[in-house]
Amino acid sequence: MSGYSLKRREFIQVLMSLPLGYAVGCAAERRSPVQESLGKLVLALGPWPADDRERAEEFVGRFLAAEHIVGLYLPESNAVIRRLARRFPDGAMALMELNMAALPAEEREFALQFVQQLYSLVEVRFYVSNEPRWGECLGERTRYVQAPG
Amino acid sequence: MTQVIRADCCIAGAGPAGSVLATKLAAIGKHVVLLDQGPSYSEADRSAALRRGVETLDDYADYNDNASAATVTPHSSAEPKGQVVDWMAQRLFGIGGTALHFEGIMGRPREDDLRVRSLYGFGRDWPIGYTDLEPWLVRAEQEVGVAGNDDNPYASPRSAPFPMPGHSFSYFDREIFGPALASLGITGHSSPRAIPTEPYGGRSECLACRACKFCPSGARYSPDRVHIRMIEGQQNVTIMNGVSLRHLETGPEGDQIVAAHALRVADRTPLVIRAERFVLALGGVETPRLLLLSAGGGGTSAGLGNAGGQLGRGFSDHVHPYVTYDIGTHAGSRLGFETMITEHHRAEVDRRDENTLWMLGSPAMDWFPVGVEAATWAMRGDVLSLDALRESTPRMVTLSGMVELEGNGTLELDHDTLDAFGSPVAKVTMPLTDRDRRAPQRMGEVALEIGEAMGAENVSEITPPDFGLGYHPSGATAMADSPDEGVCDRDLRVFELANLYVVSSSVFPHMGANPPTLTIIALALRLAAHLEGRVAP
Repeated sequence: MSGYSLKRREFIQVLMSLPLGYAVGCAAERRSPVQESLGKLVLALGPWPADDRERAEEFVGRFLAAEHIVGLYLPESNAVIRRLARRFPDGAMALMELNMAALPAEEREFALQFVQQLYSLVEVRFYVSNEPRWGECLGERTRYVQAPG
Repeated sequence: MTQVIRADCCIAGAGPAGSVLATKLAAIGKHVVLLDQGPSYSEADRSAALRRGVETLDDYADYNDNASAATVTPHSSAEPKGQVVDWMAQRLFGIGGTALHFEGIMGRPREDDLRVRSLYGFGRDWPIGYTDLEPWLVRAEQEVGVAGNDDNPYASPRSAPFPMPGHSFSYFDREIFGPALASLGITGHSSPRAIPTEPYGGRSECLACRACKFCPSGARYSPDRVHIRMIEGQQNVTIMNGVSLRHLETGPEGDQIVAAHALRVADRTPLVIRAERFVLALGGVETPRLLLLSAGGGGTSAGLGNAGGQLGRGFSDHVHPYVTYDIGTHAGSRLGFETMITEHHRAEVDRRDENTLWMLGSPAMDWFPVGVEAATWAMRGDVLSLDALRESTPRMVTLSGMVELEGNGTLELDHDTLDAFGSPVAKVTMPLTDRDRRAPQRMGEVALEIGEAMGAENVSEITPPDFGLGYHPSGATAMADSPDEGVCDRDLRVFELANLYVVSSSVFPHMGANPPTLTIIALALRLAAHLEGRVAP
């Protein structure tokens, strides 16, 4: 089931191979500046509307804790992430669009890969598609045969 | 101190073949020792792995994620060069084998898959025919509980109905994919799955958890949940996980195995199993490797069963190309697996020129990175429209293929790369021929037609033909009528060894476009009958 994972994992490696470098710290109670920036990007570029902030914040916590996303950062990337995040107002959620022309090349590249990665995650896709959570047994087996509501 | 265990039969590998075989031999009172290098995963382990995947957003969380190199033997492959592609095995070691996480697709070989050399001039013929194998396919379907409908116009004959009805078509399959196929003269039909639609043998029907790798409901067949449970605790059965078989010892005459030498993974303590019969059920890579590692004196100096130089030859696999669509309308929900497939391109192609393939379409598969295409397609000039991206996500659909190969690979020992116990790992050289590359190209062309018929707004390029190699290794210990053609005979006994048998996809002389698991289980049942002295179901 999972060489399919190779493509995805290779993709994650692409993300990691950006010069994202920073020791994010272990089990930090307080977020580092780059973590704060990543969290801000998830909220701004992700799908959660403002009235679902609690769920979005819970996701951000796991996103930041997931080592395959935020491990092994390098200083240059840290700067790219922080510069990109500064372009969004505090508290921004579910922005409608991102003007890539206004971004320097490094930030543009990172932003696109970040969005591609975020919207490849099953949890995000299921949220956007209004699907019950992955792994939750529905019991009834009619949902998948019905026309989408 | 070396522990010595005596048994009637020593089976190495507790995947579907080894587990099924062990239950059958145990049922007639044989003392069976069943070994596996990997661990035994409890239901709590399963739940923990699923939870870990959710908590860490790792959509590829799997059973062996935290296993050491002593548990999951590495392998190597030839450097990508020319037409030789990097071969990537999807390894899973443990009680249950790769069927711990498989998708339960239970496709059958076609009649002509077993005669490709004589009919079409490529590959190798099987020494047995479809009519010999078919009754065992029926038994295998019953053994694991396959849900399917008799609606496949491309299938070879079957002598009995499926054990239970198939899964209803999804909204997407019924309303979008099926009609699109039909407009192209292609029939979409049910996808036989070892995932029950009704309670079966103590398992629940599918509860639509959509996480089939871990199957929280316990519906999908997994050897540890079915066959291992039948024999656990029986006095005449010894199941040992965390035991790595290192080599087989031949007797002084070189015509039989007298002992299997193993090590416990945890502490490297040695273990010797002495048995009347030995069966290797270690899968498509480790089975031939063990025969190579067991090379002895005299006629076995090049490996057991290698008198004709066939051990490791004819290695094959499937390639799995993919295409992603934005179909412009909500694709509906996914059950967790595809409910419709088509074997049209197994039956309606000229096999003298082309390999066969089968295709599955569905709302975007869970593991597939559809965000890559979706975000790219959401660019409006220099603006990334996140609104458009969110709107398109439920419209994303994937079409995947499983493509037959000629089977020109080889498996040998890599003396430059050693496993955790100091033995050479398997090295696979996987050339793709021009013929092998034509079928994915053809699928790319068909995919465009299907996209057009579905009204797709966007269609991705097809993934490279070498993408996905490594799921179904086969062919390196082929069954044959003579040592000049293969490694084991039609009863799966290794040539020139009276008491050594092999059962895995490695015995397939040729593998068609179907997934191998059903055939592996059928061969295990057939071997069990042979060892019991029976000849037919």
